[in-house]
Amino acid sequence: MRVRKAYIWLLPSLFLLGFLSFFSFFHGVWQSLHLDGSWSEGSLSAYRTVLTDERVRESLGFSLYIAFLSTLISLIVGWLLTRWLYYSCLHRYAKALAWLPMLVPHFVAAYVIILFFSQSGWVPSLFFHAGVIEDPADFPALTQDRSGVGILLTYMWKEVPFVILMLLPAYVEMDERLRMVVYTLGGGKAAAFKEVEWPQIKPIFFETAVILFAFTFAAFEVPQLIGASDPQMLAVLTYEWFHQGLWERRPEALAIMMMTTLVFLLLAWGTLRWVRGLRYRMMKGGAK
Amino acid sequence: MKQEAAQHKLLLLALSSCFVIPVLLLFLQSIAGEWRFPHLLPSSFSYYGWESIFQDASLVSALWTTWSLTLTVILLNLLLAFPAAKQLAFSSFRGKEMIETVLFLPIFIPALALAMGLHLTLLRIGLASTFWGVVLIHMLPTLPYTIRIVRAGFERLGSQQESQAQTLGASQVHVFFHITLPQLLPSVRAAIFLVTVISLSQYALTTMIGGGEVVTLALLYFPFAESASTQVMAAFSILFALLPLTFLFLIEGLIRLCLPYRVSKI
Repeated sequence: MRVRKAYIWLLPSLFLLGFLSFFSFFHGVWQSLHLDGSWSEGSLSAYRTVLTDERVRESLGFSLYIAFLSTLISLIVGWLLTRWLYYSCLHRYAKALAWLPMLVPHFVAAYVIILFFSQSGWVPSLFFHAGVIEDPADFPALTQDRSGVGILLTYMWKEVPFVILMLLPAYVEMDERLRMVVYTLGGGKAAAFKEVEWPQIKPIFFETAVILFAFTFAAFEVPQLIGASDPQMLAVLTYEWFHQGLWERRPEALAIMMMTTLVFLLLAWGTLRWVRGLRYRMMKGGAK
Repeated sequence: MKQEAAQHKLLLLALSSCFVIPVLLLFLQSIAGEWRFPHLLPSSFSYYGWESIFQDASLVSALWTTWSLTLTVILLNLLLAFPAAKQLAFSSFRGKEMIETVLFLPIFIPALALAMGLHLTLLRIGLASTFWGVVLIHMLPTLPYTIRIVRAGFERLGSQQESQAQTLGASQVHVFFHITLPQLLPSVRAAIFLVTVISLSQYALTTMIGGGEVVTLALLYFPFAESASTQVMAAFSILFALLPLTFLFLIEGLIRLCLPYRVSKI
């Protein structure tokens, strides 16, 4: 009886999240196969077009580059800051601080970066007063630029605090006595890191990495506001195709998004399973 | 030792300036009159930015839409997340791991994919271009986080206090308002905050499902960024930061009114 009660309480959330997201995926795939929206025989032509399109390939490369770099930088910077804050016992203040960039949406963060780094922005003004540049045009174009620096800066400003807020709890909950055990047994700092610290944060570290990567790869808002019109991130290109007048590129837009979804679902599924295994083993106290 | 402490403080100051200065500068920009390159501070001040924000009829109506939308999304989030999170925290049942994963997976699905996949169906059942259609679609990127946060709160709390109260004859409602909710307030705060920010951030999702009928602040931000003056944009941006705080205070106040005890601080 108790068993059934659990399912009933879970049902509304499960329906909303599970059913709707899977339905959206399968119906999306169906629509991408049926170009005219009827029950005719499916056709893979949208996928064929997408996989051979030069612009799609370019956008895919650019999206991968942005997502990979912004995830990597945010993770490393956020992690180093978390460690430093924890070991210097400053994490109580840090938490309040890190919430501040979380307060604004990503596109507002993009606008803040424009205010700071556009060629007539505040940082060039600072450089002017420091005598580094003499004219706004001397400052490199960092927003709406071809190499995506503006997008990267925006994501860094937003995601570094996110990484801190994800990792800090793992540090705060860490049992410091375990570290002492390592030292007592003759281990050094490296051993303490390898045996105590890393196993503790590894699950949340990789989970955060996948969340960030999936988000920065497929988000539309930031590149739309601060990105150049060429190269275009995949999300921007897809959005444009989906909204183009006669719906003729819709199957292709859907094809791109459904392939992306499939890859991320598999990646997330694998990561979450792996992470749960790690946590379980840690809880049981078994090493390795 | 003392030197080290000073160093730490200096580093903390540098770190905080990375987070604080942009927000301060945004505020300064919103009340600036003239502020051109290469001045580090505005040469004059004016109310222009804030005035135009609140005189723009479309913006004011979008503010109300956003307000009611976000409030609905928050309340539905809490309503759905509490029972689910409690089961995940305390019960064990078959397929729990699977359900856990399914409840968190929407985080990894691109918002564009969700909107594209559901658009036609919502159109057929008449939910596209409606307030409730947008509410529904905003639940997808928010609810997984709320369940996760509330669940962590339940796990920290444990179930023993509730059992004890029940043994002593308290009703379910009594237990919830006297024991569970007061102690879960930090989780509720975090959830409200995150839900508000995520919901405010949805531009693509809201345009595609709202179809231009449900106009939120995010929908106006993009055309504004192309044409409005810097002061107006800065004031608009500050408005986005103020909304999560407003909701936090509102719901906090409501909860405090309903709760029988004085609530401890954050």
